[in-house]
Amino acid sequence: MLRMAKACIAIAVVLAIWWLTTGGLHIFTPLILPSPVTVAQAAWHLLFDPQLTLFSGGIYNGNLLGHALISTGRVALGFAAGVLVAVPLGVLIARSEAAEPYVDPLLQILRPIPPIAWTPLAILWFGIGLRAIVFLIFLGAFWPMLLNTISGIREVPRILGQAAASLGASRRQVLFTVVLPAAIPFLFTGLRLAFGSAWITIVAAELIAASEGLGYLIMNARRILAAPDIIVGMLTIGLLGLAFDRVFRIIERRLYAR
Amino acid sequence: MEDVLVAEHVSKVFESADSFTRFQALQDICLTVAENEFVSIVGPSGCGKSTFLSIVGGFETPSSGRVLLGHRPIYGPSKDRGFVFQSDALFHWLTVEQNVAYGLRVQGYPCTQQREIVEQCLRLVGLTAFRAATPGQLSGGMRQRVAIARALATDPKILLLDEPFGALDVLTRKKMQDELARIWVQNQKTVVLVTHAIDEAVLLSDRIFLMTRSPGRIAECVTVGLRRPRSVRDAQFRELELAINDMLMNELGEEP
Repeated sequence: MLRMAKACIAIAVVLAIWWLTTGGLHIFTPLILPSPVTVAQAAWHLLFDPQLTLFSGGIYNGNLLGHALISTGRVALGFAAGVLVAVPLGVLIARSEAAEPYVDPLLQILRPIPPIAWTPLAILWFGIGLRAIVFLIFLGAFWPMLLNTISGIREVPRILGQAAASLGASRRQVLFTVVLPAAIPFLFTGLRLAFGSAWITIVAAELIAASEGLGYLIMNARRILAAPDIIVGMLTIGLLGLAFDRVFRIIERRLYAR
Repeated sequence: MEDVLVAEHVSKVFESADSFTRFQALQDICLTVAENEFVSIVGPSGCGKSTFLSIVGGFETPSSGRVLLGHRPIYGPSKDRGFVFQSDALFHWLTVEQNVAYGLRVQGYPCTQQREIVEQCLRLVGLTAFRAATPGQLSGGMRQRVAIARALATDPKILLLDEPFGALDVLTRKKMQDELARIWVQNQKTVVLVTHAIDEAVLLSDRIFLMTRSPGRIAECVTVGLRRPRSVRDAQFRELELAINDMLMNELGEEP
């Protein structure tokens, strides 16, 4: 409760400063930084204007909820693809002691390349469209999931596999009945980080050619000089990202309590 | 009595990755264990007794020599050689019941048989009331009891215990030693126990192998002729314990 109160105080202070510098004292002009009032108005409009249906209407091409759903859908696709590829690959790499000196340097080189840097390649490979967008998000999810899977599997104490073997488990059984279950908390942390990373990538990904979505909303808002909408888009991305992270954390806490 | 386990000239050398440092952990270990015999290996810390047991368990390979179980050389771990580790080897995401049933599950025992055997084993170690608990909720002594029950459930040809009570406090350790003595009387499994506690070895074993370090060798084999149930307070017990202690001290070149 106290933590919540402190958080509210911090937000209130920021809001106050924001208002003072824009609407109150006019230190920033509306085009540079809109006041919180206009942002609130824009948010209301984007959420509830009857002229905007879920996925179409006006220059916005849909209302806020519609854009949020589309972006979430794209992230979910890319995230699922990233996880489905990263986990088996991570397990293979982690279990093979011989592979480590070969694979690790390659991973260290590729990992720091941010997904947005892959954009030109994505367009070359997949053209302009959904596939390229999902590919970038896939990359956003893939790297954290891969690295967390590798370290999670490696964290499982050898003694557990040894115990299982002395109880008659085959190598395959050791992997599926001991190593993977033991690694689940680490894997789940990987899931949370991978989703977060995939979520952040949505704006960059939608730069490619989206005509809907939160990233499109922000970019489009700049084109039509609707500065408040930019802020609305940004805040929506931030708040949704926070919400997803919280959900993952709740499940994670349950898993770690085992 | 048939010899269940035979170690023939087992040696183990640890070499660093660049082959620069060479450490001889075990040298020419030869020993035999007969069926239904309880044998201990006693020695100071670092003498290599755990390394030797790891080799018997199949988790390490000897640099030379071999280990035979029932006349056949061993390759890697198997259900024939049950192993109880010093600590932290339980599957923490499974309940006590599920841990004990694990070996039966992976070996494909039918469900009804699994339940029966798990019941028996839980009763044997006195943990029936805790079947639904997870390892995290148990004390150290109870966890080791689960580990023993789990290893016994699959009825291995031989049971290997690597300092099973080393991580426990003195009182719990004493209690667990008595527990193990009681369990063994009901079970009569072939057992190899590795421990640095001489009284533990004298309490439980038919024969005791004394091991010295750098490199680890079998210095002596002592037969414990005392009748079971044994008592630490017994004069003969104390005598034997002191004698073994002296023997080990001599071998180590230290003052008794």
